Amino acid sequence: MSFMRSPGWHRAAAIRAKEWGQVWRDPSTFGLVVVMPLLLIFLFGSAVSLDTNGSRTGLVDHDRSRASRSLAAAFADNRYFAVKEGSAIAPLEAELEAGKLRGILVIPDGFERGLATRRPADLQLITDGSQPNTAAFLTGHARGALAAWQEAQARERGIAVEPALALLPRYQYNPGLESRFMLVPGAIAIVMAMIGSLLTALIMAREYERGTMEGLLSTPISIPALVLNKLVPYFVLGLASTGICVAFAVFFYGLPFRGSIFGLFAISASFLTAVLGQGLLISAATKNQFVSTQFALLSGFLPSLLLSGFLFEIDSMPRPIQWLTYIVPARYLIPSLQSVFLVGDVWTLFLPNIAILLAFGGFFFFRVMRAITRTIA
Amino acid sequence: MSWLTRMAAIALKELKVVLLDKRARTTLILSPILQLALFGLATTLEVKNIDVGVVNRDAGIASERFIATLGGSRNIRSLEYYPTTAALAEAIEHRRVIAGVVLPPDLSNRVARGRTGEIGVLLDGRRINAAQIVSGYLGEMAARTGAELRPLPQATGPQIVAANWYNPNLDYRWFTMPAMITVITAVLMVSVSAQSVARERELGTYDELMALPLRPVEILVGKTAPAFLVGLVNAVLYTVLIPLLYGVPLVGSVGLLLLSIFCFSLAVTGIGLSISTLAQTQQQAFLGGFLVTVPLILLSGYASPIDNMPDWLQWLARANPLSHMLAICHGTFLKNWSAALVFSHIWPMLMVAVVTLSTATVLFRARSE
Repeated sequence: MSFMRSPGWHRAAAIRAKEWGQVWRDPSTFGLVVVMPLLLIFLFGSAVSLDTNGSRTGLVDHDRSRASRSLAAAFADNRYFAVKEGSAIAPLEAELEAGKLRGILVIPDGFERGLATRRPADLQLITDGSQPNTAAFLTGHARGALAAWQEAQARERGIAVEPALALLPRYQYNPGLESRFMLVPGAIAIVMAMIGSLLTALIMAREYERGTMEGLLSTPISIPALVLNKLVPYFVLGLASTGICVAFAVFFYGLPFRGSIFGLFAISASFLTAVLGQGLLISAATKNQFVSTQFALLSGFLPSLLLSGFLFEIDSMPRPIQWLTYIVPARYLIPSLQSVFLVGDVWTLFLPNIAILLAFGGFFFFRVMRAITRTIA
Repeated sequence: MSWLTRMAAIALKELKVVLLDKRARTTLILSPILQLALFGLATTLEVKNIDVGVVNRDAGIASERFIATLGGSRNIRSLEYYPTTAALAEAIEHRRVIAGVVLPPDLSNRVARGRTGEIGVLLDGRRINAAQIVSGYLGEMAARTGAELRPLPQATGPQIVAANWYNPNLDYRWFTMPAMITVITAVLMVSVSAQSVARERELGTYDELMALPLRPVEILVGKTAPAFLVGLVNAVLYTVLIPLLYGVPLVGSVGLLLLSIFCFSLAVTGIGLSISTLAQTQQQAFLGGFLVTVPLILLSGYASPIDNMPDWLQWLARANPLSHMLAICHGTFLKNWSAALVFSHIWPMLMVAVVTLSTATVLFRARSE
């Protein structure tokens, strides 16, 4: 191949070789590319869980009747509650305050009598509102447990009536309701964002800090070629890291992978293009390692975690924040990534997102070129 | 008192290094405030403004009533109608709606005959948390409509009256905002303190530092100054801003909160400093800090409750200074915690501070000799 003998090709290869050397010289790169993905997938697979089971709940039975004992037993058997029974409310309240209990259920005096006379004595549930999500779940589960108990009682007495409407929910793509299936693809997005924006910003900023960037710019290679060749190793590292993540997610956490490798490659490559451009721009704009890392955290890591829609629903956010999510690249990755695992290759969903991510990448490169040209002038 | 002046001198030098750069100053002071506004508002586990699909093949009263109930819900933004279940499934696949209801042709007929009308619900399992909450909303609406169509004798029994203590309306912001004090200051303090020694080593000024007439401990204490101050200033700023801007009550003792912030800052700075003494370059320091900070945040109870974690991770979470600070933030802001309760969470943080700061000193001394 004649072009491989051309001086331009040799120069480009030399830049790539230099960059690879720089990448591998520091063992922390290995940490970022191999250890961080495994750690994040593990944390989002095992530590972060939105499934509330066995909430520690206090129970005080003031009635001490056959009906109230039967209800208390129903709560004790329910998988959403871990019941701790007490004779008075006050000591349980102290535990609620300390955060050792998430709620207290009080069965009032006259509960059984109320059932017979059809003048019901309501149950009181005190929840720890400082954990709003758990409190809301607890109330919902308590209402469910009470309704189930009432229905069983009515059936025993032969007065039960079938409800007019019932729902038959079916969770598409995730019938086992695994929150892991939602969280692990999000973790992969964070890994890619970190390698793309953080590692790139850090290593490039170091070149500026030490003055070696000027040396590189004076080599006889065009600036776009120089920049693109410098990015090749990080692009490859990002893809390798994604591969490690996907393998770990599938083989260790049992996530299905219903799409194709090509589909995964297309969405990962377009996302990496956007975040690599972002990292490059951060380093060119700050030229300082410390400031670069702060910017990369602020514009890369945190938005990918909080504004991308994988942990928190974008539609539920206040309107101005929703607008802001449109400039977070991870927003355009998460739906595709979740789909490639759980649904398959949904090209009608992938293609618009890929186009937007490539446009991000193009914009960032354009800005970087201008920033570098200005430096030279 | 000469050791005190020596330490003050090195602390001053460290502060200059960090705060003399204008952009560093901006990122350290402005960005935490920006983060408080942005991420505090964004992090809600509530599910609102949802789009729901409807496939209606029933022409009777039951579907009419149920659709009217859906339309009246304040959590639902729009109802999208689809001719078939397949069209609905496709809309879910393309994320146009998060869920859809399928009303079968015999729905009203079954209800009229005293049987149960079954409504199919398709939900997007990719967003499983939101989908489960939406399923809860729909179930509640079906129960309400069903009771209008046919009152249940068992439903006239006792109900559960819920009282949410410390946060009556379960405003999610009352949870996130105090938590931000813990999370953002921890990120800041680790990233600043992790740089401190590593930077000198990378720039080659480490040997000069060693040549100064200072003991290693004195240098190290001086080095903690910027991270400690940046963290402390931001935490105090948050404590003032959160009640003012977001109306989150601060019912507990401000003094106890400040004392806790102080101990927390010691612990977190100690973690950052240990990383810094191990790192050879700024890159290592930063990545090391990141590799430690992320698990600390995810195991603090901020992203999801500690109660939901497996037991052995709960033990780890108990050694995490962030989980104790998070508990204190909620305890003092919302619950008016007593000194005894606050101290029960302060001492684990102090333990972490003692362990990490002495580790850093030992490592620093070992490397400087």
